[in-house]
Amino acid sequence: MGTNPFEDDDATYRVLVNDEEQHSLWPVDVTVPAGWRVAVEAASRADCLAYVAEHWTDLRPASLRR
Amino acid sequence: MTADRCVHDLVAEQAARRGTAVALVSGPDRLSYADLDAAATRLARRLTASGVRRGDVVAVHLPRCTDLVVALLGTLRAGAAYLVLDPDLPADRRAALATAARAGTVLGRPLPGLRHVPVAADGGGPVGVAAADSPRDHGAAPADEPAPGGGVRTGGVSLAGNGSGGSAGTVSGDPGDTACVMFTSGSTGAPKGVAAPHRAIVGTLTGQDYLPFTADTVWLSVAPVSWDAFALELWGALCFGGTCVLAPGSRPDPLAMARLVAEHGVTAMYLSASLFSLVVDEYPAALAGLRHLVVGGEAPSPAHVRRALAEYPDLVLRNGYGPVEAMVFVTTHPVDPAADGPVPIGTAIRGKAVHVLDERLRPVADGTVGELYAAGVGIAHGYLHDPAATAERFVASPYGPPGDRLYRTGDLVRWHADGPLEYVGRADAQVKIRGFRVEPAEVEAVLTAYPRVRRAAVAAGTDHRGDRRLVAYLVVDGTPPGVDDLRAHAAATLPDFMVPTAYVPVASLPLTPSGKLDRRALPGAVPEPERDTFLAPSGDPVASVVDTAEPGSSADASTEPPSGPGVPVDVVGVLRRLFGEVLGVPSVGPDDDFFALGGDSLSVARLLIRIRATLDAEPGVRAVFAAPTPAGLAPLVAPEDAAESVAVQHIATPADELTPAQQRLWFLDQVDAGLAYTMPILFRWRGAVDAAALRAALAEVADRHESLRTLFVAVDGRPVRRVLPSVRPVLDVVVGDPAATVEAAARYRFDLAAEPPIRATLCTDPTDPSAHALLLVMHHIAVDGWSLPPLVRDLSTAYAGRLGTRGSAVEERVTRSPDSGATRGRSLHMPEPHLDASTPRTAPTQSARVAPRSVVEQGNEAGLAYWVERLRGMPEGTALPRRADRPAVPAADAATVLRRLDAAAHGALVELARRYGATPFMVLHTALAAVLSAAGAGPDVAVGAPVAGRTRESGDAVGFFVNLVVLRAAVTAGDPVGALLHRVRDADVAAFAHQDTPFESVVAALNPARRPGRHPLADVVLALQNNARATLRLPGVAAPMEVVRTGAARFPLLVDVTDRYDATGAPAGVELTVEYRTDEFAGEVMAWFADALVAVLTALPAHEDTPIGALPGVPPLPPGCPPATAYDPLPTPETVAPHRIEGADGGLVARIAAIWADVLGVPAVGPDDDFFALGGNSLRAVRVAARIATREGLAATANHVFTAPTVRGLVRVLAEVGPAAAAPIPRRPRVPLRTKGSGD
Repeated sequence: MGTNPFEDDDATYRVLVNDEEQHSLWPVDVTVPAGWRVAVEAASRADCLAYVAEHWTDLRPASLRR
Repeated sequence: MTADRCVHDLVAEQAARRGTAVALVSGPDRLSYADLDAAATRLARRLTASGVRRGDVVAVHLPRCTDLVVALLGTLRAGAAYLVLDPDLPADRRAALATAARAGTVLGRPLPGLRHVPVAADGGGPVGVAAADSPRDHGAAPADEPAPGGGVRTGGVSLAGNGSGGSAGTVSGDPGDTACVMFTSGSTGAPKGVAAPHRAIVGTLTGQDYLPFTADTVWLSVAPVSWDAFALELWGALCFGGTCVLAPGSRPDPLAMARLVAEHGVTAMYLSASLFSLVVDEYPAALAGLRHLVVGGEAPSPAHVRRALAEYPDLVLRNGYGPVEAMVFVTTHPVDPAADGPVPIGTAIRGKAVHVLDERLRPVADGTVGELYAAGVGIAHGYLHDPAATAERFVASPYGPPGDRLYRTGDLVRWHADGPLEYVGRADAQVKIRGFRVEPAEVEAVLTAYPRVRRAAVAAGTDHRGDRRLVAYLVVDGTPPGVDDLRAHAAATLPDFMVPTAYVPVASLPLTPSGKLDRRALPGAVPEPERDTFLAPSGDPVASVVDTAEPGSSADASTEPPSGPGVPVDVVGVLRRLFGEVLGVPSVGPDDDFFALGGDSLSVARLLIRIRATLDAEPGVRAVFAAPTPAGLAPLVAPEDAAESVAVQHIATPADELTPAQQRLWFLDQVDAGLAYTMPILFRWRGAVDAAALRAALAEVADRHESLRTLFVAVDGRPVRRVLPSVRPVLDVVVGDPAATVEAAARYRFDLAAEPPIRATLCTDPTDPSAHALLLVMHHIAVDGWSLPPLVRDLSTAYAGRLGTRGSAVEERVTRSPDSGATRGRSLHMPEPHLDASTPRTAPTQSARVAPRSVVEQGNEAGLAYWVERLRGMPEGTALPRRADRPAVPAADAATVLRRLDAAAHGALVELARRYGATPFMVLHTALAAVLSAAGAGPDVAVGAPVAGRTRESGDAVGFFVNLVVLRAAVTAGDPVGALLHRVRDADVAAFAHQDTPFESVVAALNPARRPGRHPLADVVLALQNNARATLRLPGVAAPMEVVRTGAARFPLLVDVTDRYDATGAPAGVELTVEYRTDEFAGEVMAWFADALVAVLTALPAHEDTPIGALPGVPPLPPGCPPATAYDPLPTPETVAPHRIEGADGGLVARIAAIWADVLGVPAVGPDDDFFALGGNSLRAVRVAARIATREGLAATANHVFTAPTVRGLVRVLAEVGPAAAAPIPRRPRVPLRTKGSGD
């Protein structure tokens, strides 16, 4: 068992967003799952998480906010 | 889908459906569904009126109680999410959590900076919620207080204008709304708030089969209220119409737990694995009666799981796994007691899914370790106000529906081929302490905030017991800080499970090549807390004893420890020893802090159990937290009766479990032994008597002796002890004919489940008003012969105290007279081998054992092996001249024959015994064997003998400790007296060396055929009453005890011998009472028997070389004596069940067979299978009967199972018995129970 793919500070990640506007960190070398769009194409882990912190302001699924 | 509902809507449905059903039990409070729902609705209106909106977070600041639940439900009904703030958390942490959750409102107890709303409206509160001692929280805030004062409202999340209430003032929510926020330790140094929707809770509970989510389930809530397991216990009951019993406090107290389980018939429970292990170790009775138990939080110990299932084979035990982010459980596993190795975590519950993935997020092969990702209905929204942390743990799912998320658990697991998941470990630094998640980084962040601590590393080690503890490794600048200061610093902000146990100064911390902390290089073991080091708690290691007579006296008031018999217990000394035992610390000072020495809430629970067993006190969990040193705790342990002597402590039974001896008696009572175990004793005197003082004295004696205020309650056919805090035994005052009054009163039949096992009648003769008779009637389960002298002495003392003639009774307790031990210790003790110097000296070890009997039982395999070997192949019953017309099931009706030996004959017997290195009991046994042989018993003669069963600890405690041993000897008429006496002596010595093996174990191991109305293995019993005689001493009066017979026999034939000695200790004569069942033996045969016994005893001393069949003076069998016969053959299944059962009763046969299979733990039971051959025993027979009565409404009793030990036979018998008029097992009374010091 190697390092968890979400825990590598030196790796490159994406930020994914689904229809509920939930955000997910995502390893750049793993296929993007269905139902998710890429919000950040390739960035450092820290930059990705900073993006999430800035753009995801309400944890609740979007359908509940509408 | 049914799971997609709001929690409060499901509760409201139950309230509409079953409004009067009990939803909550909390101490003396009961809250019905209707009242709960009404109270929550009123509260929701007030919350809405005070400005709370859908999507807000409301802090609920209360301990576990009905108000807490009203607050949670009211919050949900107002559309908000609740955050439970356990008042036991440090104040700083409570404030920090409320701030982190941006809660603007607090319910319950106020918190600084938050708008406070009381749970109950001013002016009385909701009906049914209020109780005198429930925590009230009337604050200043009136219901119509305008919007937010100083509180911070959640910015950006509330939806103005949406759902701000309808006419009902409550909010119709969405199952996706956040229902609760639960904080867990955070790896970034701050706790993380998990925001979970209604859907996560409801989906985890609805349509599931891992626990019974039904209206007839009674749950016990013991989990910390801030845990997701609390949601399981609470909503698992309330969403489905069940009852939730709220245990007091947030810290585990197995004693309180056991009481609640027994009192309320709890059927389902969740326990963290570490609490489960503790309960199994120290207090398995807490699981009695439970049907469903899920263990979780961390991997349960396989050994404890097996022990629990061996003890409670009917318990359905599951291992549950799940992080709070996925709500309570993701997987569960039904535990198979036969399986070896670690207990698997099982498979996903309905609506949830698990994926075991590698580093490229691909599923791993079976057997390969991967990381567990959870998906499905329980997944939380994320970490409140922390989107970045949410985005890295709640990640896109390649395996679910489009857009679905996985929660990345960090747990390493592997699939077994075709089987369940096995837990392997953690992928990161997170550790579990007592089931609580701890991120070392959070603890490290707190420690490095302390002055001079430059770096800190926290790791889990294991302590002496193998439990995990946190150890802090510190790099400090200059002088290391004191450990107490560090601990206090940590405890000010961290919950107790996160406060390290040990603090180790190090020069540097191990680093990985990349410069990060190398946690794996940290040492693994928890250092022993040694004195004179950095680790040392403050305090004087030299023993100092606080005078416990001065409650509140503090540390340094030293006195000499008292010593000698009958002196006050050195409570501080006992506590120091118990602290040391529990903590694994060699020496504990009176001022050493329990927690500084490594104590935690689980070791507190362990300590409390031992305090109760040793000191008979229940200070409660809070007392230990409030006063965590031996000196500080001592006054709380002995609140009023500050000094009690060791001698009056009840035996250290670590449970509400019955001793084997009590189980035997309880069972005999249940199968209707009638009056056989009622023990009446009589005192007669002339003089004055004060009935009121006597009544008060009885109550005082019962207060003092736990056994006299213990009820025996059947839970699913299993007996559980319930100790009442105090009782007032009945004293009937009668003016009437003493003989008739006593005879009638002596035949009292106790209901052990409903009344204390002691009552009294005071009779005054109308023809002689100065002549009084006091009859004490007790049940044998509470007292034995050895109990009577101390009991009567205490009664005398208490009575004198009430009359005010001899100072206070309390003083009397302090200075107990040691005389009883001396009296009992005189020559005629129940035979023990140490009387003969040539015999192996095994007995002293046995008799000086210190462990309570149930522990002894576990370690008594050697004893059991002895008995199995010794008694194997023994003939069933003794061949004796029984009545030809005896019924199959003899009644207990008894008659007696009395005989006496004079002082000379007695002296000769004592001298004979001395010559042979035997005891007088062994001589009696030899004589009895000779007479049984003459009566036709054959060459293999077994005699039962009661033994005291007392240990040094039980001392002269009042209780039932008697064990029964079976003495087997080969006897022929040609044996010379001396040779037989030698043989009997050797056999008895060996047998008494194994007298600790409970009779029940022997019966279970040998599994003889059970016969209704008969004691297994013991047909003829020989008892030598060598316990001291009780004397009632009233002012100016000394009334010796007289035994009153109830007319009911315990055995077919009992030879009851009392020997007397004069003041110089010289033999003064022997009284022989032959008690027999009149159904079994004819009077003339028993008269012969008694005469022959006297003749043999008289002849023995002078005829050592004479064959026992040729002793002079022994009368021949009376004319017309029936031939000697043993028991009749047991009926065969064919004769019991002749015909046609399958037709009408086939369904009943199948159902009863299923009950048997369940109770016996076998896969199936055939209609003609023998209950006892399948492993049945008397207690299981009671269980079977209880279930048949409950489920089939038939008046089944255990006796029926004995009469007809096959399903088919039982059905036939029950067809004649008919429906149950009333439950055959007495229902437990609803006597209010309160535990000392446990109130919240």
